[in-house]
Parts: sequence; C-alpha cells; structure tokens
Amino acid sequence: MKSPLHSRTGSWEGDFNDYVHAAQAAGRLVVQPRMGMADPAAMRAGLEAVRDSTATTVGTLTLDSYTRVGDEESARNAVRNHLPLNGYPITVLPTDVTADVLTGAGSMPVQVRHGSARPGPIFRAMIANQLDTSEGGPVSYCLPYGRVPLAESVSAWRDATAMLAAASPGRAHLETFGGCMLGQLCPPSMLVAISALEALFFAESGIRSVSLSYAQQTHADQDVGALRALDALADRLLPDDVTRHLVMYTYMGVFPATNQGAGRLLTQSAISAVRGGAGRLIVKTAAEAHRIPTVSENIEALEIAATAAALQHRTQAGEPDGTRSTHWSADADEILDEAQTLVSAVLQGGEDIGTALVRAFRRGILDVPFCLHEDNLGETQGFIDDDGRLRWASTGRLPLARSAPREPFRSDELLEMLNTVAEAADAEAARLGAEPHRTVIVGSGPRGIAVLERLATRLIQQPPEQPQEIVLIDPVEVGCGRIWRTRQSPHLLMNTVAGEVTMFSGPATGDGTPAPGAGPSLGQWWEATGDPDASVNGFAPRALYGRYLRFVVDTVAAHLPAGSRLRRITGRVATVEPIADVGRRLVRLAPGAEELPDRRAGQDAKPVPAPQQFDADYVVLTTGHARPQSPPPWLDVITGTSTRTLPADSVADLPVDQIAPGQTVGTLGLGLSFYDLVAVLTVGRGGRFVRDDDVLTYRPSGREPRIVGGSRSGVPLLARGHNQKPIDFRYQATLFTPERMTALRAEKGRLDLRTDLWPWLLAEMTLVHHETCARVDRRPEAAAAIRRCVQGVDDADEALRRLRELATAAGLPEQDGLDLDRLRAPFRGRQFTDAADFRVALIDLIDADLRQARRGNVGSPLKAALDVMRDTRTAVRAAVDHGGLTARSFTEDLLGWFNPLCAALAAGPPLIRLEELLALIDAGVVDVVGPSATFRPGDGRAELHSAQVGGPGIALDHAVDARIPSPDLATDSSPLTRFLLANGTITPYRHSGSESTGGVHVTTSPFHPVGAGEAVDRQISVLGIPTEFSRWFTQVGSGRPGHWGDFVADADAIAVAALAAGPIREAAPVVLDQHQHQESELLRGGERV
Amino acid sequence: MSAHTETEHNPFDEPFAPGLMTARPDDQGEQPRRRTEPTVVLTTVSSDSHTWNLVYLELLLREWGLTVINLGAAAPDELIERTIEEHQPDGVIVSTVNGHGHLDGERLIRRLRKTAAGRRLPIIIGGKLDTEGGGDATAQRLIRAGYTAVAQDSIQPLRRLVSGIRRSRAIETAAGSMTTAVRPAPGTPQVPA
Repeated sequence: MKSPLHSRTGSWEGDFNDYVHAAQAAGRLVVQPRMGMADPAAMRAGLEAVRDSTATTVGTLTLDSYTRVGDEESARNAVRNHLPLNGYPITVLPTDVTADVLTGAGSMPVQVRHGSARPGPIFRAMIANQLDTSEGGPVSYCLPYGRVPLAESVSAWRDATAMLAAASPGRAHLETFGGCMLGQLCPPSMLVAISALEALFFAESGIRSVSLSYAQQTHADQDVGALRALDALADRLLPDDVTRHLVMYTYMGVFPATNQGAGRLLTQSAISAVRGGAGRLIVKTAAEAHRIPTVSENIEALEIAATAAALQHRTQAGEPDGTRSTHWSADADEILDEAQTLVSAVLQGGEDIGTALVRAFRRGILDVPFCLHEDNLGETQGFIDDDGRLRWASTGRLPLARSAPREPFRSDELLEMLNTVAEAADAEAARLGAEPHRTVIVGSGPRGIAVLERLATRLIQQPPEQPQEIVLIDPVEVGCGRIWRTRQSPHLLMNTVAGEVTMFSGPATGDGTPAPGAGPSLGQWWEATGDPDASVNGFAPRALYGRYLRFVVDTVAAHLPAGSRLRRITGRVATVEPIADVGRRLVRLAPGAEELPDRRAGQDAKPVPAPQQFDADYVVLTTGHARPQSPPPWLDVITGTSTRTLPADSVADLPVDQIAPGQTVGTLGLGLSFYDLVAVLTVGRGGRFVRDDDVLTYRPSGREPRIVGGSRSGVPLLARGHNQKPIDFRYQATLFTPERMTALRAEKGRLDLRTDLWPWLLAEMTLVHHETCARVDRRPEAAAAIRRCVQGVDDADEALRRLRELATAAGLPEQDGLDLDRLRAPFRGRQFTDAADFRVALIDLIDADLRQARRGNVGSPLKAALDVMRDTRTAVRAAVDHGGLTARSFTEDLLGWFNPLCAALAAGPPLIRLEELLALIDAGVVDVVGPSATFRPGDGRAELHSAQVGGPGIALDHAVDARIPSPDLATDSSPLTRFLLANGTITPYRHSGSESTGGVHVTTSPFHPVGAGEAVDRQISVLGIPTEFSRWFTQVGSGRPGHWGDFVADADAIAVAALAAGPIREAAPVVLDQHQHQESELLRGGERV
Repeated sequence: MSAHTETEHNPFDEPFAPGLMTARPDDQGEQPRRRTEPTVVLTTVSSDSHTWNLVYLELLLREWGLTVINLGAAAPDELIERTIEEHQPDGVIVSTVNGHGHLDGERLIRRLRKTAAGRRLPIIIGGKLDTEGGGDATAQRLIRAGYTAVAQDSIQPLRRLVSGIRRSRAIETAAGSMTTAVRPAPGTPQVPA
C-alpha cells in the first residue's frame, strides 16, 4: 500500500526547488548525504536519521551497482538470497516496500541517485513509487563510468527524461551531474559548460525544475567563481519557466587521509557553497577515503557542513555587499567566458542538444581531461597552477585560447596533482592540530568553575595528546566572580549551609590532598581553616565562599597534567565570533585585561597585560547575573522628588555609603536581597544582636538608617526549616519523579503545568506532610501506611484522595496545613487600619513561622513538605525545560504563578534572619509597610505605602528595588551580550510561538546557543542564569556533596563537548557494517553518485 | 611458488594500493629502445568503473618503456580475451579498486587461462581486491586461480612483471626469435633495468 503521506518528494507540498529556495531564504544550506542500503529497514532508518538531524536535509536513495547497469536479474537474485548489495534495488522491490521506506523521510524530499547511462527502468520505478527527483545526465553518467556509447546514452536519457517529465508535469526534478566530471583535474569551465548543457538537455525534454551541480576543486575562490559563472550561464541558457538552484559537491577526488583534513575540506566546501550562492551541498565523510560511511558518520558530516554554512551565512549577513566573500570575481569572469565559448560552439549546429553533445565530443569541442571513454578524444589536460587554481595544460581541439605547448605529464606529476588537495588539507589540519586545544570560559562564577573542574578531572583521567589550554576570564575577580568576590561585606551570607556546598565533583580521597574530582566541601574546607565561626551547619559569608572557589581553581591549576595549563585573566570579553574557515572561535578582550601570572611562576609575580584575543576551540559562556542598566519601572514616580534611587543590583555592589545614618531607605521586595541590605546597614554598621533569655535583641550603633520594606504580599521571605537532614541526604520521591514527567512528555508532547505537573507535586508534598504528621504524632505504622497507600498509583488525583482519606481516618493533626496559595499571600483581601495594626499581624505571622522553622525540616510537617519543592527540582526540569509546556501554560502557569510560588516558599533564609528581623522591628530600625506596596510621589520626597494599610505612606530619602531581576537579554548592557545578539549567535528563547523571553535559547545538554535562523553553534555552550526560560531554575551556585545532580552533570557534559571540539572534529569511532562495506574504494574519481 | 613469495615478502613501505597513487618509481633510467616495444594490456574488471588507477598506470608503464593498451572502465571479460588474442601482448595488468576484484578477477583469470593466448601469459592483478583488506588469503586464492602474481600492498610485482618481460624479450632478441613471452622464472629477483 502506498503511503498517502508520501507524494513524490516526501510530503513536501512544493517542488524540490521550493524546498531548497525556502531554506536558502532562511539562511540555511540544504545538506544531503550519499546513502543507499539494500535492506529496506536499514534504508528507512537511514532516511529517518537524516530527517532527524539538526541540519536542513534532503534524503537520498542511492541505488546499487546491478540496478545502475540494468542487471535486474542479479539484483533480484541478491534480494531473494539476502546477498549484500551496495545500494537500494528500487526496480526489483515492490512499491509497498518502497512506500514504507519512504515514510522514514517524513516531509523531507528524497532524491534517487543512481549513475546509470540508461536510466529508463530506474525512472519507471521512480514513477511507480511516486518519486520525482533524481540526477545524472547523458554525458556525466556515460563518459566517466562505463562503456555505453555516448550516442546511446543520449537517446536513453532523452526518452527516460521525457517519460519522467510527463509523469510528473512541472514537478519532476533533475540535477545535472556534469559539474562533477571525473571528480578532479577537469578545469571549472568545462564542468560549468557540461553542467549547463545537461540542464538545457533536461529542459528540452520537458523538465521544468532543475539543479546544476559543481564539485569542489582545488581553490576556494575559483570554486566560488565557478558557481557564480554557472548561475549566470544557466540564466542565459535556460527557458524562463525553468526553476533552478545550484548544488555543490564536497571534493570528489583523492580524499585527505586524516579525519581533520577531511573535515577541513568538508567545511571549506560548505563555505564555498554559501559564498557561491549554492542552495544545496552533497557532503562527503572522512571515512570515505577508506570505505562507505556509516549513517552516523553521514549525519555528523551533514551537521558539520550545516554549521559551517550557517556561520558563513551569518558572516556574510554582517558584511557590506560586494566584499570579498561573495563578489563577482576575476575567477567568475574567466570561467564564464570560457564556458560560454564552449557552450556556444556546442550549440552552433542548431540541432537538438543531445545530437549537439555527441557531435561536440566527436570533434573535440568538448573533451574531458584524463577520461578514457572511447567517445572522448582525450587530447586535453588539466593542471594545478602555482596559485592552486585548476587550469588547462592542453586545450586540445577545444575552441579556447591555445595553451602553451608542454610535455605530457609524467606519472609522478599526475600523482602529485591528484594528491594536492588531500595533502594540503591534511597539512593545514596538522598545522592547526599543533596549536594547543583551547577552551575559553567566560565568567568564573560557580558555573564556570564547575566546568573547569570537570575539564581538569577529565584531563587528568585521560591525558590528551594535544596540548591543552583553558582560559578563565572574569571581569571582576577571576576565580570566583562578582557575586562571590572575596572583598565584600562579611555580613553577606550564603543561603545554604556550608556542608551542603561543594565545587568538587567527588569527595576527598586517599590522604585527603585536594585534587580535581576529589576535594572537600565548603564546610570541610572552612573547618580546616581554623576559623572559630566555621561549621558545616553554618551559613558561610559569601566572601568566604569566594575564597573557597579560588582555592578550587588553584587546586585545578596545580594538578593539570603535563602539557595542559590554566590561564587566568581579569578582563571583559568584548566579542566571540566564528573563524569559519578554520572552525574555531575568535574571542576578543576589551582593552585593559590583565593575566595573572602562572602559579608556577611564583606568588609575587605581578599581573601582565593579557593577549588581546584568543582562538578558541570551545567557548563556555557562564556569565551569571547580568547587570541591568535599564531604569526601574517606577523611576518616573520618583523623578521630581528629592528621593534618590539606587540601582537594582547585588547588594554587594550597591553604593550603600550614600545612605546616611538616620535617613530612611525604602525597598520594594522582601526577598533575599532585602535581608542582605538589612544586614549591611545594621550589623554592617556596627550594630549587634544580643541573645538574652532566648530572646534576641538588637543593640544599634546609631549609624543605621531606617529601613522600610514592602512587597506585593507584604511578607518577608519566610525561613527554611532548621536543617535536620544529614549532609548527604537525598529525598527519593514516590510520586513526582523525573521519570514520570519524562514519560508524560513522551506521551503528550507539551504539558500543562496545572493539570500534568502540579497535581503530582502537590501529591508528593501532601505525602510528606501527612507522613511527617504521623511521625511527629509518634505513629510510625501510620506513617508507613501513608507512603504505602500511594505506591504504584498512576493518577495524581487518586493519590491525593487516598492520602486525605487515610489522614482523616487516622485522625492526623494539622492535616489542612498545606494551603500553599494562602502561605504565599496570607494578607490577601485583608485591610489594616494603620501601620501598628499591620505590624501586630506581621509579628504574629513571623512568630508562627519561626515556631515551624525551629521544629525543623524533619520535625515540622509544613517545612518538611516545603522542602519537597527544593528536592524535586530535577522533576520540574524534566517537565518544563526546552519547551516542555504549552505556550499558555508556560506564560500563565509557570511564569505567572509557579515561579513566584517557588520563590516565596522554596527558598527561604535561615531562621536566624527572621529572629533578627523581629529584633530589628522591635528596635524600630526596620519596618514593613504592608502588602500591595508601591512607591508614590509624596510631599517633596517619594513615599512607600501599602494599599491595604491605612494611614500615611513613609517618606523616603532613598528608594531601592530589592527584587532580583529576571534575566533579560533586552536590557542586558554587557557588550558581549549585545554583540552576540547582533551577530545572531544567540537569540532570546521564544516559547512555541509566544513572545520572546529574556533568556538565551539553548539546545538540550550540552546547551549550545540556538542562533538566528535556528543555527546551532556547536562550539559554544551557555550555562546558568542567562539560559533561564529555556531551562528552569538556573540560579544554582554550587554542587551538593554526595551526588552529582544537575549542577555537576551539566558542567561535565560541557567539558566533554569542549574536549571533543576542534578545528575539525574527530569522527566518532564506528563499527563497520558488512552492508556498508561493499563498495569500498581507493580512488574516488567521482564514481559514487 | 614465486608469486606467493612475493605477496608474503613484499615490504609494506611501498604501498601498491592505495600506493597506486603514492609510489614513486625510482627507476626511470635508460631503457633499451627497441624497434618493437614490449606491449602490455592494462585493464580493470567488469564491475569496476574506476579509471584514475588506469590513467596513472598507463603513464608509469609507458615511462618504463612499454606500449600500453588501456581498455578503460568496466572492461567485460570477453573484451579482455579478444584483445589478448588480437594483440598477443607480453603481459596483462589487471588493476581494480572497487573491492570486487576477488570475485570478478577470479572469474576472469579462469577464463583467460583456458585460452591459447592467455594460457601461459604473465597476468598480474593488483589494487584493492576485497572490501576486508583480506591480504594473504585473497592473494592465495587468486594465485591458485591462475594469476602470475598478486599485488595488494606493493608495486614490486609490477616491477617484476616488467623486468620479466624485458628479460624474455632480451632472450628472444638474442635468439632472434619472436615467439611469445614466457613466464618469468620463479624468484626472479630484479626490478626493471
């Protein structure tokens, strides 16, 4: 049965040219493999793999040699007896089998490739299978390969072409193979002429959709000129109603011996294709020097070529018209001139084009160098001149300027020419390979250092042959970054206990000497410093974490294996852009960058000016929190008053000295930044907390300002439960698991957060809540029964129903304590008469929260349940990352509801902060104005006031936005971000058709940026906060001891990608497959089609 | 037998395949110019459409002083047989690189060895003969089928063939005879003059 999906060129609606033109308009080069398997299942799988690659592709059915020469009997025999064939035997397989094979292509067009001088039976089989796209030509599939007389090939092609055209009027598409004659040493003008003549031949036989081929030769500029000349010639020659595109072939002569050399040639061909205006590229793989490539090798080649093409498109887009990349050149002139002369001479007789071709070869008007076919005169020769261009050595009887007489080539000269391209590519690859492999990490916060640590660990485990250089760059403090810099107020603390923080991907081993992959947690390191405040359960100052981070970097530097080095640079990266023809990235630094001396050079060595730029094999962008430069939305409210505005930023970077004692500072936002601000303005100014009779009181220094905060909910971020869990504790979810979310996604496509995710998370929290209720009620059997009752339940509502039923039946206390929306906004709908009225309610609320927090995250059912929100982040990520939600759910549920809920309930400060807040309120230093708080113009000064609290607002000397801004590319002032956006390397993540978010669009691990035209740059990773929205909850600043978690796994995946990247990637090792082994070839004179 | 010895002892530092394209003949010294130059048929097998190997070998053999009848791509067995009958060459060189040489080449030699013109003619085969890099086993099978020598990794058999042709021509000249060339003696150690 024929698949209704599959109509001729896949289910693509337009014809083949429409497909290529659409891709071209979008800045993409269509790439296509050579691929043919005898086994239909393998053939289908091959098409699927091509279809599913990240490149824009055309699928290929390459036919086997028997079918090519019309030996159907042998092909049939091979199929019947399961003998290996070197291609797909389309003429002897039933149409329902082929229809099934073609379903593998989906909507991707499929081209039949064959190499036959008598293509009639093949075209008949194509028609029967509703395929309408093929290639070849009366000259190009006759002269190079066999013994069929040219006149016979011409008449066979004429009949077959007319048949195909009639079967599929307007849609049938043929590509000329004439631009590939013999693969090498045929000067471009002859290739262009034959390619154009074959296109004319097709048009004369009724074909209205053609492509014209040209194979990469010896010189990039000459190839670009040839493509331009081919286009111009086709424009003159072909009727107006014939549509066309140009197709480039990666070099078809002797191929480089090394993977790197082969990759370089492939990359070059993609770049030349784009420069020359070709819409499609037939790729070649590194393996082809030795054997038929595997599917995965083909896919890799397709993606390398597509990436190189996308980069070239991007480069050209940024150039003024007529620059070197694309302009009409002397090469184009010369080639067009010669090709036009040849074509005119061929067409002079006025007879039909087929007859004219036969006559032209007989008279030597066309004569292909080194072609042994008896209908080819063989009086011409090509050669590679001193500048690397392919030219005529002898023009024989061609109607071209007579070449200077010269001796025929000797065998060794021929050999040298045949190997020129391969040897040059290998030599260039070797030159590049001798440079150190370089990974540049932009931003040395925890994310960057995590990548560094994994790079080092992997380098130690498997020392590479190539020298390695890792360049760590940070604008503020290299080794720890701005947020964790070592010089900042000691009163700014972390929010995670020190024992739960580590930057080593494994625990200390052996004698405990720290090394990459095996080192102490922050808590262990802190205790080892002898600091009396050190405690694994304590909250370390951020500056101390900065010192720990620098210790990690020092450890890495000291342990890198021989041949590897770490360079540390304090400076700002200005640009990162592709060096397309080398396949590296150029990283330019802004002026003034300094390099720290190599550790081994001695501690007292001074920083030296850093290099202005680096060539990088891989760039890791871990730039962390951006510094927003846009004015706060409420600025116009403040403008015109005497109140001063402080920028929204990390508190460590606020100019708090501008706030004088006794002044009033108002903040919007009561989250972690609010607590930071309070700390630096109170204890940071000499105040002290004193505990007396278990009551904490604040002793002011007298230098404090008055601090008034407000927010939408009016609730300061509540405390995390006192930690009662072991440092290496890891909660094992029963209901809300990453596996369940992954399965749901596979089943449903996009999820709805409210109906697909939330019920499971709520059920998991309820499970822990009720279980804890039972446990604190000293009823362990009831606790066990609660967990048991949901085992194996695959409906979240059912799980929730069972939990509630069991809790009611067991008479558990506090059953109704888990009203999350109420916890988040406890003052919603309440009106307070005045500030004092609200203050009483707030103090009650904080007291109640402190009671829960003191019971701990194991002892308080509420705090235990809220901990689940932190412990199941991996499951949330599995559901929502990389476009997991529907557009509506992403915008309304995730951004509008779930994220604020998590921020309010799953990330609290330690409870001591709440105790201190109460003490500060008692002391009259801090106050909270209430819910629904806004700034408003007042009498001279701006005011902070609450719409739910009566009485006057509070007049302010300073206004601060203490809400941590969401990452927003649109307002990010960093020159690097602006540059990457402008040149299309990064684009804002746009969720399935909804509006752009402020995050960088990245792929799945290892998180390559998705640029303009959806081009993926595989030599860059973006990790952490800038990728928020593409991913979920990226503001994680450390790993946890005892298990890797996403933080380390992400860094490790990037380390793997960085080490594998190179000027030209190494092909993955492959297992040879018998079927793909059949036609292994030594010399590739264009024999594979 | 000699051919076997050759395949076994040929050093790999002078690759024949892919050495067809990398070996540099170092022996293009003076060659005896004769009125009737020794002639070889250069061909590939019926399924092989590669020709660069034939283009190169033709140049090389000419430089070695031979007249070369180059049959081009995909020569059918009967064409090769007919050419040998018509031209009575001093030897036949079968060069194939598509990996089917072990099949097509075996069928070809059995056919040629049954003909009068081909029965005792030096016929060597070289290139990439199978898809596995089968080496000795493939070579031995082809030797048993009738080839004089098999060249998979070395150009030596080709040199020996040519020097053998020269020696037999020299003998003929000395004897004033114009009879068919004979197979070179086992273990002939030389390269062309």
